[in-house]
Amino acid sequence: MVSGPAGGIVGRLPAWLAPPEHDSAGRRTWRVETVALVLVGLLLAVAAINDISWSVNSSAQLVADQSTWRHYTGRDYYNVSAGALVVGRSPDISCANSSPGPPGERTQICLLIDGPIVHGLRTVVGGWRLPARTGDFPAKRYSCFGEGATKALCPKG
Amino acid sequence: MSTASAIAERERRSLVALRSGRWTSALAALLSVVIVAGVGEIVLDAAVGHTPMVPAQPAFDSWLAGFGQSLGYTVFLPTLLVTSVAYGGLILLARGRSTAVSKRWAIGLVATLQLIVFAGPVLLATDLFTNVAYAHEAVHGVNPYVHGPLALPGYPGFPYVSPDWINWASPYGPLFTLITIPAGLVGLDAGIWILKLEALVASAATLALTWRCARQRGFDPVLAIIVVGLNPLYVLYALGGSHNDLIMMALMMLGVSLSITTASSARRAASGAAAIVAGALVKATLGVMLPFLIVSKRRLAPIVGALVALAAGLVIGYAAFGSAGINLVAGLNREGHLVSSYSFASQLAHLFGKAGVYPIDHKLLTGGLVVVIVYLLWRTWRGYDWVTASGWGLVAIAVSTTWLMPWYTIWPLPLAVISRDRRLLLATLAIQAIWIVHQTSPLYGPVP
Repeated sequence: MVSGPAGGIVGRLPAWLAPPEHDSAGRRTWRVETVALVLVGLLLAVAAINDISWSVNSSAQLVADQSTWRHYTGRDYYNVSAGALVVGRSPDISCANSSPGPPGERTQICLLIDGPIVHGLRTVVGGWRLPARTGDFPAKRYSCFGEGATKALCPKG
Repeated sequence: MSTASAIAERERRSLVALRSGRWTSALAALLSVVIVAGVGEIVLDAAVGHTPMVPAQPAFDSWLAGFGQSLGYTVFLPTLLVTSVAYGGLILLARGRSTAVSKRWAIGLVATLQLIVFAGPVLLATDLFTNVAYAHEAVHGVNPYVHGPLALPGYPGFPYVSPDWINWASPYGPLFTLITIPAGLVGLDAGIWILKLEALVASAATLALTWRCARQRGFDPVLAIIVVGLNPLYVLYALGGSHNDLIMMALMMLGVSLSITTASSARRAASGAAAIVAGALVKATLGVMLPFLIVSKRRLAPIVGALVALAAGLVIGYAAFGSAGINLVAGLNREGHLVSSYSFASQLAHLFGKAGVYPIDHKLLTGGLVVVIVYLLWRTWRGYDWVTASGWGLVAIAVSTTWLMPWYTIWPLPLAVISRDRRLLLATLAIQAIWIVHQTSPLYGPVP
């Protein structure tokens, strides 16, 4: 333990954690620095935990969206994309081939998915089809249904 | 108390101490085995082939193939966690009881880990292949400070260079590129071995100099090399990826060793500053240490030593690579604008509800870093240990950079173990622990 006139928290610290004797800045500076360091450390720890939590939730949602696509279409394909239609907003979108083949090489079925995860699945609220070998551009969407049609997400209808 | 009972009490206490010593030694041995087994498992599994954790690479270490299973995150992350916990336990044992880990055991353990990783495949990053490509560029008349590896016609190592860097000119100092030139004179496999060997030698030099500095400053050198040489991020990431940070750190510790001797002559202070400049000519980040050394010494010698080394380095760099080769700030600026998901800056941005790091955040972080460095310089001027202040400077860079790589967190470690301010060691290990825990997120939920 550190002995000395400072007392308080600094005085109760084990010797190996106490301010070095030759540190001329004094115990008050040392204490302020230590508090600042602890606060920064806590902030970084909270940020990391927040990131982990976000990552776990996102993963759970992506897996649920992939399962929902497979369940809804009755196709047990491995390559099912899942993500946000607009970043930070719902609904999410999940697409995959309508028949076996390399990813994106067949006509695509895209589903708009929303709501909480219930028994590993979420609710399909709409969708559309896309021609093979094209990205999900509004002009390419066809056979829209649900919110795909009501929210005018498919210019072709 | 009678004489007989006093003797009996003394004997009882020695017996308890002996048993306790045996237990701690046995526990230390067990933790050492866990660390070696963990690192061995990762290396053997990595030798099986390319996975997200193991970059695609030529089969230069084929003798190891067939012993493990493909290295996925479900093996890597728990192994990293267990190894890290064992590492923490070993530090506590070695700190609390100096006899728990003998000098011979510590050196043998550190050497074993280094050799296991050296014998295995390149782990967790493709930088080594990019550096071999830069060496080939330098040898074949293509300036690596102007062109990325893509400018090298018919280069057989293209498949192993990350597409992210194929067009990037070298961000490193000219001294590093010159050191790597032998790798450009030989075939791809031999070039890889040369850079792996350079990393191993640099690591050994870093550890030897850390040992020396710890003794110079009156610390337990065994504990010092345990903290640095067994550190999972040091072993698996820095040495596993053969990163040039190890060369930078060897020069850093050479500079410190020359500067902290009790009989610190002007020549030694100048040589110490020159070594730090040489380190900055490998990777410019190390330049942050120089002001602390100069402010601390308050004499002309380190300034002269730094200027002479800088002038020599710039002349050689200019002769070899032209003006682009001596623009040390260009590489830092380019990397400074990149954002890695590993970085604390990204995590803080997410915490505050932002999708990522924006240009204004870069400016805020740079401003914060400048404030911290100025404060540390003021503290050093008032008598704070310049080695510790340099360590804090490196911690601040690692925390504030938006392009954090795991091996950046090892920079302050050798300085922390020779610092009387133990907060530096705690802070360095804490940011490493936070980083490791953050990496383990795939273990806590389903993976798409």
